[in-house]
Formats: sequence, C-alpha cells, structure tokens
Amino acid sequence: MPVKPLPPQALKRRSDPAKLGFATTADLKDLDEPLGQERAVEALRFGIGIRSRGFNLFALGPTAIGKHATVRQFVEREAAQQPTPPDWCYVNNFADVHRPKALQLPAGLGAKLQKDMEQLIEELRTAIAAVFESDEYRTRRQSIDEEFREKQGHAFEALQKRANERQVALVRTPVGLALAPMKDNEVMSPDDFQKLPQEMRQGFEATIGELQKELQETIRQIPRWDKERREKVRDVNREVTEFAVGHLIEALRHKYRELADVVAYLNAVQEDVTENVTVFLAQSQAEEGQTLPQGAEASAAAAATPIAAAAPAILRRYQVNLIVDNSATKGAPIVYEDNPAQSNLVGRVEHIQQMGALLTDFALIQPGALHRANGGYLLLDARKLLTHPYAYDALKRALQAGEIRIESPAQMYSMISAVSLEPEPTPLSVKVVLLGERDIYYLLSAYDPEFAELFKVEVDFDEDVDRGPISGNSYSRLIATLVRQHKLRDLDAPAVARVIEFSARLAGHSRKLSIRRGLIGDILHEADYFAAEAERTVICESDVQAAIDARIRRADRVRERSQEQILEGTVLIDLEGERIGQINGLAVLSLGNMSFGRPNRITARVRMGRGEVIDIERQVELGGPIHSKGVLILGAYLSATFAPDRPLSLSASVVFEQSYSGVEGDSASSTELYALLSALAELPLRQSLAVTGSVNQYGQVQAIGGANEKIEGFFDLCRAKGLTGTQGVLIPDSNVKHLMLRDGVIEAVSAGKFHIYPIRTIDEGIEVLTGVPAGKRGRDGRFPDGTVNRKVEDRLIALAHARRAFGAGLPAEGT
Amino acid sequence: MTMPDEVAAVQRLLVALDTARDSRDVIELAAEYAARLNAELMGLFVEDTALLTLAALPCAREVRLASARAKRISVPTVERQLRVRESATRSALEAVARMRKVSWSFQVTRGRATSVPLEAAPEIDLIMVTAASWRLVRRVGVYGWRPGPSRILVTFDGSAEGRRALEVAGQLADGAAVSVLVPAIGPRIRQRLMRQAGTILGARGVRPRFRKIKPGNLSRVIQVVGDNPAALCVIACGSKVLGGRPVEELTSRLRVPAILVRPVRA
Repeated sequence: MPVKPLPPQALKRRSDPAKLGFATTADLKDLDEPLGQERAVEALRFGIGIRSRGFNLFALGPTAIGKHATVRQFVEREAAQQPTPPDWCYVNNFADVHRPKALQLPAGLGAKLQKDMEQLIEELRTAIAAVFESDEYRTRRQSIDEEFREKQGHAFEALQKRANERQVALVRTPVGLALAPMKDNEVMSPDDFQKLPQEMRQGFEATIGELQKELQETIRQIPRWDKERREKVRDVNREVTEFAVGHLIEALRHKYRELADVVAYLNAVQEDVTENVTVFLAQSQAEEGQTLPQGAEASAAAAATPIAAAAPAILRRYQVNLIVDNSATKGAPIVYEDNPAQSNLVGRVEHIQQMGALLTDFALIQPGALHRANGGYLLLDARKLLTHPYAYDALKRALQAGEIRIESPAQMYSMISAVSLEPEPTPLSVKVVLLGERDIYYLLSAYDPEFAELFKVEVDFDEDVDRGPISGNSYSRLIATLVRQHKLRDLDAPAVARVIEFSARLAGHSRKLSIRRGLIGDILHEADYFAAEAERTVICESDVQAAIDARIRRADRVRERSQEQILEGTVLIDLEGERIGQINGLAVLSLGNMSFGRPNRITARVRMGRGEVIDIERQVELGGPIHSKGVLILGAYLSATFAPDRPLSLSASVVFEQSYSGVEGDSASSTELYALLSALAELPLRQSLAVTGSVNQYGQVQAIGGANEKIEGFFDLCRAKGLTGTQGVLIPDSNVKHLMLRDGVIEAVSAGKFHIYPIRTIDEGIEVLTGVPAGKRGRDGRFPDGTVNRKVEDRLIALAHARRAFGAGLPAEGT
Repeated sequence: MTMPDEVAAVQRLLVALDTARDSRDVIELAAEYAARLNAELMGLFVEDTALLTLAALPCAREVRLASARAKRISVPTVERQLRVRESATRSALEAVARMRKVSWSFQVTRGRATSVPLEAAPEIDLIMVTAASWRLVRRVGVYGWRPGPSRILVTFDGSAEGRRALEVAGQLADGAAVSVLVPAIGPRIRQRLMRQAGTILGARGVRPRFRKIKPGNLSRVIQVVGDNPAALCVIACGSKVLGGRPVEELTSRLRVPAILVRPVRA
C-alpha cells in the first residue's frame, strides 16, 4: 500500500477556545502551585524541611522555567515560620588588633550596641577631658613633674656647687655637659691654663676626672628618675580615668549583662581606655585645633592600629562594626546574591590608602552574602558562582567548616603584600540553593566529589507538561498568573488558545506544553504591546499571532538570505523533475532564538569497490561522529538486505553538496540511503520532495528533532518558487505527534498543494520517491522484477561478478 | 583722675636662644606672647663664647647626655654641633611661628649668652630671656595646660617704659594673677603709681596686687617671683625698682622667663 500523505488535522493539535471555559484570563485564579513541577516541588519541600548538614539544594532545569520564582516561593513560606537569626558585629581585639573579634547579639541588639558605643565614646571624651582639666589633676601632675625637675636640678646644682668650690665650671654643650677649670667665675682661657704651674694643671685634670665620674653617675640616674616619674603619671592617669570611665561602662555592662561576650568586650574596652587615655586627650585637643601636649604619650597600643594612628579616626578602635543587622528581619533571611564573587560571598577586608600604603582595621570588614543569609537561605546562580574565581571553593569551604572565614584570595595566594586582618570566623548555619542548568549539575556531580556531599537534594524542574484537559485549564491559569505578575492586559479565550498552541510548538510536541515561564512571559509582553498599539483593553488572538510573527520576522534575516541563495540558483536545489542519486535533505540551523529548516542537496555515486560507503564529510572532517555512524549504518543495511551471502563489491560516496561547515546528526541517514539506492538502481528520485529521518540496520525510519522547522523550511522554499501540488516532505512516522505546523502549511496541505508523508520504512519512502514498488523477497529468495530492490540487488550482484572477474582477469558476466 | 600717656604699640619681641636653654619650650612660649602682642618674633641664637673657650682647653671633658660617656671636646666639634643646633632651632622657630601665624626672623651671633641679647638694636621693643635649665629630659606635657603665664610680676615706676611694661603685662594676662612691683619710695608717689597702674591694667580688665620693693633689693624681687615655672616677669630695663643695677644681674638669677621692656623710642 503506497503511503498516504497526512491529513491537515494531523499537522497541528489545535486548542479550542470554546472549550477553555472562560471569557478572559480575568476570570481565572492564580496558580497556587507550580504547574507540572510535582517532582521538583516534592524535592523542594524535602530539601527545605530537612535540617541535616549537607542537605543543600541544586535546582536544575533549563533557563526561563521559573526555577527562581518557585524556589523563592517555597523558601519564603518556610522562612516565615523560622526564628530571626542573631545580629553579628566585629569589634576591635585589643589584645591582637589583627584578629578582630566577632560578637553575636540577639536580633536588633547589634544596632543598639553600635549606638551605645558611639555614645559612650562621646561621653568618655567629655568625661575624661573634664577630669584631666581639673585643678586636682593638674596639681598632681605638676607635682610629679616638679618632683622630677627638682631631683634633677638639685643633683646638678649640687654637682655644680662642688665643682665651683674646686674652681671647675659645669657648662651645657649642644650634646651634654662639660667640665673645665674656672678663673674669676668664668671658664679659664687656654692661655691662662698653659701659664699655670704643672702641678696645678695636673690638679685640675685630677679634679675634673673625679667630677666627671660624679657627673656620669648623675646622668645615668636620669632615665631611672624619668621612669619613676612616668610610672607615677601612669598611676595617676589610671586612677583618674577609672573614676571618670567606670560608671559609664558599668551602665552598659548592666544593660548587656545577659550577654557574656559583650560584657567581656566592655571590660576590655575599659581596660584599653584606661591604658590609652592619652588617645582621648589627643583627639580632643586635635579637634580643638591645639597642638599635642609636649611628649604626649600616645601609647604604643594605640599606634598599633594603623588607621587609628590618624588623629581624626583615632577613636575607631572603640566602634562597633555591625555587619549583620536583623532588626528589621521577620523570620529567617532569604538572600539572593546576584554577583557571587568570592568577596561578595564570604565578605572582604577593605583597605584605605594612606601615605602610599594600604591600611585596614576591623571597621573596614565588609560582610558577604553568607553573613547576611546566616540562619536562613542563600540563593545563588550556579553558572555565575562557577565563573567567579575562587567563589565556588570559598562556598564549599564555608559549608564544610560550618563557619565563615573572611579570606582574600590575594592574601591567600600572596598576590599582594599589605597589612591585613584575620577576623574571627563566624559560625554558619545556612541552607544554600544553587540554581542552574542540568549540564552544570551533571558536570559537578561527575567531576567534584565534594559536590555530592554538600548538595544532596536534586530539585529537577521539567520544561514541559502533558497537554491533557486538566493541564489545559491549569495552563490557562498559568497564563493568567503571568499576566497579573507582569501587570499586562488580560487575554481573551482565543488568545489563550493561541498561546497554548505556541507553547506546544515551543515544547516541540503536539501533546506537551512548554512551562518555560520566561518564554511564555515574553510572548505575553509582546502581545500586550500589539494590543496597546491597537488600543485594545484585552489581548486578542491576532495580538498573540502578531507577536509570534514579529518575533520570527526579527530573527528571520539569515533564513531569508539562505532561501534567497537557493532561489537565485547559487545553492543548487531542484524542486521539480527527477534525478538519479540526488535528493533533497533537510537540516535545522539554530541561530540565537531562531531555528529554521534548510534544504540541502545530497548526492550519491556508486562504482565497483570493496564494500565501503565513503562519507565525504567525514573524510574532510566536516562530519560529526553521529553523522558518520549514520553513514556506516547504510553499509550495514545494504550488506544485510542485498548481499547477505556475497561480498558487497561496491564503493559508494555520499556527500552534502555545497556544505561548507560541519554536519552533525543522523537525521539525514535515510535521505542518504535513498540517494544511494537510487544510484544503485539507476532509478530517478522526485526532486519535489524533501526527506528527513534516521534509519537503522533493518531499514526502519526513526524519529528526528526539528520536524516542524524542517517541514516549514522546505514549504517556504516551495511556496516562494510556486506550489505545484507535487511538493512535500517525508518525515518519520514517529515524528507525527510532534507536528505543530504553521497555519500556512496546513492551508496548503488542505488545498492539496503540499504533502507530508509519514514514513516507517525505507521501502515506503523509496516508493514515494521513485513511484516504483520497493519489492519484497519472494519464495525464490529474489525480489520481484522491476522493483527497486530487485534493481539494487542485480546491480550489486553485477558489481560482485565484475570484481571477481577483474580479480581473475576474466570478462564480467551479465545479469 | 589723669589718664596715663599713650605708649607706642610693641612691634618686635626678641627671644634669646642658646644651647643652655630648652629652645623648643622657649620658642613656643615666645611665639604665644608675640601672637598675643601682635608683634614680630625675632629669634637670636647666641653661640656662647664660653663654650668655645672651654673646647680649646686640653683638660676639658664632655659627658654625653644620651650615653653618659665622657669624651674629649674640641673646637671644631663644638662649632659643628652649634651649627646643627642653630639649624634645628631655626626650623623650630619657623614651624611654630607659621602655626601661630606670627611674622618671624632669625639671627645668629656669637658672644656671652647672658649679655648679648641685652645689646640688641634699639628698635627691639621687648627681649625675652629664660633661665638656663638643668632639665635634661623634656617635660611630659599635661593635658589642659595652656600656653601663657598663670602669674605675672611687672615692675612699674611711672616711666614710659614702666607704662609699656604694664601694657604688656595686661595684654598677656588673660586671666593670670598680676602683681605690680613698685619702688618703695615716698608713700604719696607710691600711691600715685598704684593708681596709675590700676588704671592702665584696669582698662584691660586686670585687677592687680601691689608689692613695694626697696630699689636695688634684687634678692627681694627674686624671692617674690619664686620659681613657679608658669610665672612671668615683665621688667622695664631702667626701672627704679632695680635701683640702678644692671638688669642682667636680676635676669641671671631668675628661674622664670622674663620679658625685658626696652626704653621707649621717641
């Protein structure tokens, strides 16, 4: 039975607006649950609910499918039921400024502590300045200084007196003190000294020698006296400071008495203020435009924090760097980090440039997304995470260690050498959800053993849903939901039906609907634009169609040029007549968002040989492995079908004509086989037909991808040249369910001007292409005379004989 | 009541600097006074000839303050060290004057440190001298100390220089206690002097105390002044309080800074 072309109704499964059961999408409720994602939703519920370590989630699926929105919806629901996590601050570590301390406070108290410390600093400055300006303090200080001065003065005056009594002067020099003989209360001149008797000169020298020892002993005592003085000053300062500071800090200690870490920090602050009181004094004086007190003993500890060494910022050491403020957070936080660079994940230590050097302190610690999401959920795009250097490793380290350690890659790998910090790590409790394409998930699973340990929950999103009646209704609600989410005009029922058909085409299947929300949302936006242009309040079918057409038009340039080349005869494609060994194949080109079918001439030549079918594409490395596999199957088919008991003595070559780029896929293997059979049987093929479909060793034609695009591609070419009524496409029968063709094609088919043949076997296809029966082996083991297969077999037998004769030097036998 | 004659404003304050004095302290104090008086600050660094004489003696020994080690001393070494000190002192003067926004100049001369400043040119209105200091380690400053004296002692005998001395003391007082030393001469004259001084200082909001001093009794003056480092003496060079004795006889014994008021030019 010759194959009959498909009826028009088989070319597209239409959606009947009348059966949708609503007038416009305004009549429909929003979807409560994601459509067609039962598996993903189940995994999400499990992954979000389970608290065990390592049960982080990877939401995988194609882009624009609504992964992010779905994950967010479920996470928000769960987060609202959870307690608000604590605030986190970094404060100065007075014992080691390079290792700032992390403080944890109940949510909302971090900001209060920060404010309290700012106020404390102000109060301390005032209180300390007041006590140090008091007459009591001045008197005590001056008394200590005076005591030192007197001790020093008395020692030298006594020495001077003893020296003068022995006619020796004690004189200040630029670097010390000098002893010299005197005369008339003045230093003796060298001439007078030389005039002295020898004994007197020796006497002076001996006296000066003795006095010199005394002088040295006195000078050696000065540092000890000064140390005593400084200790006394320090004791007075400490006593006065404790008096001024104690009650202020005590008030804070009482306020935060439940928080042991904060109390310990306040104790450290009090100790540090007492030790470094001059820091406050210097700051106050600097602000008043005064010079620092002479010899102001800004402590070594104060100067150890480089930023603090700058006078205006000297009090930074007592600030609180609030890195996580959950005062306004309700429930657990949900953080989506759009730019998951390493520093944006684990935080960073910033530097400021000062006098040509890069300096930092705890106040320059910046939190990362992990800090903000701590106690809640962190959503990350897997592709972005992997494309940022060190980010994925940093995330894994944090999850494995259960703590956030702020580390700079530059420091880790010694790329820069600047003063930096090692902030105390903060404990981490977070549920991470990575979102990405399936390829990324499978690659990470295959190549990163740690991945499976850390992301144990696979949330696999489907990209399409079965197109049953219930789904149809749900799908209408999905459209209504998107319309409201994007604040678009409502769609009437025919428009919804058209979107459903468009969705089926996106799914590439008449019984499936695409649930790629992003793509559906885009077409709704575009339809809304056309509705607005037409001043309509509701989106109509024509608006949806206009949007689809406009989208095709925008991306159609390459397809047009390609078709133009065929019509002009630059690329040789025959659409009429018959040719031996020549056939129209169909390829799909995908460029950006546009996929279209393009005919390709395929030719085959045969001659005597050793049984090989030469794939010219493969010989020049333009054919991919799947294409080569398809061609090798042809040889196997020929051998098994026509030469089961004799050598296949042909050499055949198959080529995609005018193909200058790579060819991949096996969707043209049946087409190549038809060309080969034509060449062997010397039967011409109809050039008004194009063919797609792969073939197996038994001659069964198998499904291929892009059937719609291929048919439309050939149809467009035929229409451009003029539909003759003989033109059409051979497709695998198993692809019929995928057909969602354009209305133009369907109209032509309805009018009998274009035909689509569903093909199950090579025999069916060759009959359509040649108009000659394929033929089945009879009881005599031969194909009937006049059939395609008989002609092929005869030709192969002839080639075998010829080869044998050629090998033995005998004339070839006829068949 | 008669108003005292007007005296010309102070234009120049010379500060004497040498190795025996703590230059930085002295410069800061002098700059503060110059700023308050709106006067030019002139630094005069004196290379003390006694030092150079000493350096030429074969038996002279120097003990270094930084190490307590004894070394022979030589003239070239002392001259080099003096040059270093001069340069440092000049820089310090420049920095302090700039900070105080005071016009300034700096000179170097050689002579006796105690007498050379007093021989300064007549256009110098005021000369500030300080006692030689044994303080070998700089004093640790105390927050809240303000530059300027807490107590001023000023001589007044009714002369033009005396009136200028009172003006200077009044300008520098800024809340400090002011004691006026008047010569113990006839009670009527003394009363008149006290009234005049009261008027001059009163115009600046100062209410002075008075001490009578027997002319020439410098020991009494030194006793009254005491050794409070925050005190300041303002002395008219030809004051009757000195009883005709040279002013350097007083200043060499004072342990506090002194501002000497030169005779008022016509």
